[in-house]
Amino acid sequence: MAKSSTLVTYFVGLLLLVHSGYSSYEFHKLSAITHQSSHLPIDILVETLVGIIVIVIGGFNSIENSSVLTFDGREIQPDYKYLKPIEMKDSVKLIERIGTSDYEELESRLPFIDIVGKRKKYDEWVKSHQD
Amino acid sequence: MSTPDLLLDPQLKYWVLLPISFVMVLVGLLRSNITYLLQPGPKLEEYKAIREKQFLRRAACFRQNNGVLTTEEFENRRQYLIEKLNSTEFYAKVEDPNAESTNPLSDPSTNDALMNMAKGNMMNYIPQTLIMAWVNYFFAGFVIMKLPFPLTDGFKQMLQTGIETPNLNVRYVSSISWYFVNLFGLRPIYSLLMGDANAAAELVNQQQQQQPLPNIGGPGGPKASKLFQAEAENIQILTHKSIFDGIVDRVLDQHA
Amino acid sequence: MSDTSIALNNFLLLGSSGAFANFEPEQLLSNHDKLEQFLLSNGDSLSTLELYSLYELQFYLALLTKHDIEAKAMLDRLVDQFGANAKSQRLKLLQSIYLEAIGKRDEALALVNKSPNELKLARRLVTFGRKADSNDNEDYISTLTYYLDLQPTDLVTWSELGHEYSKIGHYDKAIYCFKEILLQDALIYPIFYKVGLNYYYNFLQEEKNLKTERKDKLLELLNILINSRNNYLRAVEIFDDYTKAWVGIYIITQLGSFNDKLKKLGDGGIKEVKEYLEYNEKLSKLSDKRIQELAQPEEYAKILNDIKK
Repeated sequence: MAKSSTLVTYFVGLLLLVHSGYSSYEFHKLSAITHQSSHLPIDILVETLVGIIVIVIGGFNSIENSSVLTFDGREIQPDYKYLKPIEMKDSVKLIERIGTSDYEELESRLPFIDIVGKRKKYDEWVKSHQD
Repeated sequence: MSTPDLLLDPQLKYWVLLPISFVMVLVGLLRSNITYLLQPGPKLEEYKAIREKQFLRRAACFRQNNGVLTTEEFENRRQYLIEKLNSTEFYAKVEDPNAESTNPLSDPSTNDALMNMAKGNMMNYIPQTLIMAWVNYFFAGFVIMKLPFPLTDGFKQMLQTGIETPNLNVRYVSSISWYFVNLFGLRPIYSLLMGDANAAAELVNQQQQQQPLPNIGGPGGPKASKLFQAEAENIQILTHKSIFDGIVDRVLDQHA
Repeated sequence: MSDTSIALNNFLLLGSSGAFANFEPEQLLSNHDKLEQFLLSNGDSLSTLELYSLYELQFYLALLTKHDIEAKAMLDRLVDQFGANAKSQRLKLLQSIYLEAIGKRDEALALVNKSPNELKLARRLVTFGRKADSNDNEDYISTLTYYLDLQPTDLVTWSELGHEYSKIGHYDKAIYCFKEILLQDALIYPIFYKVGLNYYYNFLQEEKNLKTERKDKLLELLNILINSRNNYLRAVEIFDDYTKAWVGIYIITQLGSFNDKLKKLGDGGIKEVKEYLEYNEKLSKLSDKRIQELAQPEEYAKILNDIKK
């Protein structure tokens, strides 16, 4: 699910690269015909570099961390804009802020859920709200 | 170029080149589907075997992570584990020590594994052999295309199998060589057609969830009693160092 | 990233963590309604894996909020996709939970009670030992221990057993269960917190029964308290911002009457008591500071409430 801005940067960068490649191909063909050996014109070089830089920017853009929703419905931004922390004490922060943890299954114990009891509790809640 | 170009019939492209690729793709898809159908579903392991493995794993974990225990808890658990590891309580099946070692080939579980392997291999070789025979029978000795770029003579063997013309330019490709190029080059196309990327991702997920259990009693695996005894000895010589020693200072330092 | 994928990630996390099992009714209902909307508007654009994960989640949410017809519809979709007669234990588990919820307890029992090799279902079978409307969970505990004898590395079951023991006040046994989890994976900081909490409860229990002020008794109590403190500390050592554990530490450092008794002992010249009290002071300051940094007052109150229950 790439963002559209990322796609645009990739496209522009690729276009520049292809164009500079084609220009240099034409240039070499020309110098082969005229038997003059000269250096590549500076504008082609610049175009190549700009193309590469644009693509790199697009690449960075594509790995930006997206914001996340907490379980109570607030939207929060991760602490780091790019990449994710690798140290445990930092990496678990985000999921804790969401309202759970990596070890939630030990806390929720879903396979042991007391479905009847929970439904009864829900019933009571509904009743207490109707009154 | 000194040698004049060969004139290739353009119809070759439509009647030989593309059909070979097309047939290979189709057969590849068919093969993968049949393999999928032939695969037996995952069989449930017997609960006793799982119990045995898990107990061994528990002992191994104790050996690794005993730092989370206090000295008292450590000694209690060590006693318990050594006792259980030296008894036969957790064995999946208690074997008669005097019985001669059985032939692994007569064991039904081994047979199953062998059969599966044989099936997989057959599904690999039979279709390939058939297509190759087909190409060889109908298009033997065909020169079917000319590569649009120059190559060195080293590629001659690869690109011109099946035609005996030592002086032909390397850029011409014979039919059987085209078959081989397809054979090795079609893998990405298969994964594209079958949406394999998804399956691969799922596979990765599964691997993360499954905890590795030691292979006991399987073909080639060591005997449970040996493993249990080895583990008991390991635990016997274990020294205990609790992570709680000096933890207050560590935390205070962290926030100093 | 778009709002859709943010919401999707949230739902997927909710489903995979199972956190909804401890949600309050209000939260359940709002999540159910949100997911219903989400599936209506985005159901077509999801991948198969995502879609069926969400169906499973919605099955639980619908069942917990008494939308039985919708739950049945979700279950049918899952069954249609993965086959009614397939050997899938996960599917059978869902079917059994559904049957149990709508009151067909016997059928639910029959579904999970087929083969001893189907361990996931056997685990569900264990829950049938639970008695409704009573705090007597002796039978349940004995079936749990029986299951753990068969599956000694099943962490979720150890956790369940630990919670059950904790409920009836067998804190030492609860600690044993939680430690068993830690032996398998020594980084589960919420479990360190749980261990600390149970040690703390154990301390309260013992303190209540304490009649004398004899030295060895007090030292025994101190030992429990040190264990509790150490486990809390381990939790915050692994995860720095773990508010609950900081609150736990803070509570321990603020035990007025007991600390006074200890002070007398410390003045009497017992080295370890002195050391403990020194650390206590430092930790009290530190935990107070950390709690101020981390928690809003209402969050703090909620955690306190949870601990006192």
